Amino acid sequence: MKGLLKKDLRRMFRSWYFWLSQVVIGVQFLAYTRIEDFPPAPAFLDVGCMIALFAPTIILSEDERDRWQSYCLTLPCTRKDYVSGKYLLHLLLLGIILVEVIVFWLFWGAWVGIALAPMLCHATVIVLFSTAIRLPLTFRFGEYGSFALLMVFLLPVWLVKSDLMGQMVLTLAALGIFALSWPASIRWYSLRWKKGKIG
Amino acid sequence: MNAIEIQKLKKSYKGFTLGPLDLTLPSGCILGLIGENGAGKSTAIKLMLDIVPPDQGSVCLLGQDNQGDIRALKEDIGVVLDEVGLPGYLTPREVGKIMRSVFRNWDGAVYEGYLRRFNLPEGKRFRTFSKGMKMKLGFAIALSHHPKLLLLDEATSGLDPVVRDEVMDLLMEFTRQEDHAVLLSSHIVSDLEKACDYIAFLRQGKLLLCQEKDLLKARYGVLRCAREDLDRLETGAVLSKRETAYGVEAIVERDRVPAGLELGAVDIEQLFVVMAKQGAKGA
Repeated sequence: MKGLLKKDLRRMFRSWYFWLSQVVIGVQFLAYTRIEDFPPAPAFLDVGCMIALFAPTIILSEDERDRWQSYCLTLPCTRKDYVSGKYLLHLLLLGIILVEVIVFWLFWGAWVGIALAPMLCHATVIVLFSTAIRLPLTFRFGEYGSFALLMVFLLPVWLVKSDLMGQMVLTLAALGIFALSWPASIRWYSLRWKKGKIG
Repeated sequence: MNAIEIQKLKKSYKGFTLGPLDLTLPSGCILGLIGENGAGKSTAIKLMLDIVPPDQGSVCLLGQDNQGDIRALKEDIGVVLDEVGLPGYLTPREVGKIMRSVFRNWDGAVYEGYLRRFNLPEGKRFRTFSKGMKMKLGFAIALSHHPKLLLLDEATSGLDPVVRDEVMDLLMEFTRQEDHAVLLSSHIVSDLEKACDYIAFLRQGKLLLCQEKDLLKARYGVLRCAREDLDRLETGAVLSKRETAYGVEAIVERDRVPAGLELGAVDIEQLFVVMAKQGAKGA
């Protein structure tokens, strides 16, 4: 598992989507916090988070193209390790985004009186919710087609204009769905192997 | 100890069934699994590694059931597939660093030794490698964690003769240790004939035979004689025959040929083709 994660992190840090997302989050943070109607809606983080999510998505499609999915199962790794590695990668990505938001908040946001918690909750909801929906679909049906569904499922999240309490409820819901999605992905991925859809 | 023990292994997909498969490979030996494309060789190897779950049957590798702790079991197994599925952006040096975290017994010095032996550039990306270089890197990885069993799926196909020869030397070297064993699947029979102790024929998912190569060669022979001489042989002694300008060339069972007729050595490829054709007629 550690080896799988190492490989994915190497790739993620070489992905321009990842670095672009960091820049976008930073630039948007500075730009949105200068406009007059403080506090800004934390939805400004959506674009950066969505760009960031392209990085692990590309790793998944490259794994399929390079036949890494077959190869890694010849190593001391299981299907469960492979799936769990992807979930951990998304958690790490979320961690990086949250750290970036906290750093910008410390150096800029706190001085202009922006609340940190809604931003952290919002980023968590976006990343976890989309991951929780997308990964099981990807592991069940392959990489194609999951994106359209992702947009359908994400729409309600973007439309919700909730207060901090609402954000926290959404965050807990996202965490719950994420936790349910993990074993579902393992099960569906194993099923795909069993039916000979991969390899 | 047997390195591989497969009992009544079966896997069905839509339009294809592998097995029931019974196969045993003692330690210290090389088994050649011969079969045409789509015969089920890769599926058999995936079942052994529990990459694909079986419908029925059992697999014991190195004395352990593969439904047990497969992670620990794979620590002792080196695998090379027909395509080494490494990400194209990695260099051999980076692959080494990743594999250090994958295998408990990873030996960096051995790995670097293989990179040097195979003339593989450490800093060049995998995607720029030729097919031969990719396979060599696959072998370097498969051998650098001190495995006891090697599973090679069409690992020599697509390689030039020089590289193939190097690989065969490597396998012979590997099986010098008594607790080591190799299963090598291929449709290039000449490769297997050189190196293998045991030969198994797989056709359309069915195992036609699994026997020691020397016993096979001792059992069957090639008879070149006149048509009349061949007609005098008992029914069933002749597996196949071919008329030539000088008479008849037939693959026969040595025991059922009367003394006085000179028999040549049969090669495994001839035997496989004959058995595959018989299997097709019988099907």
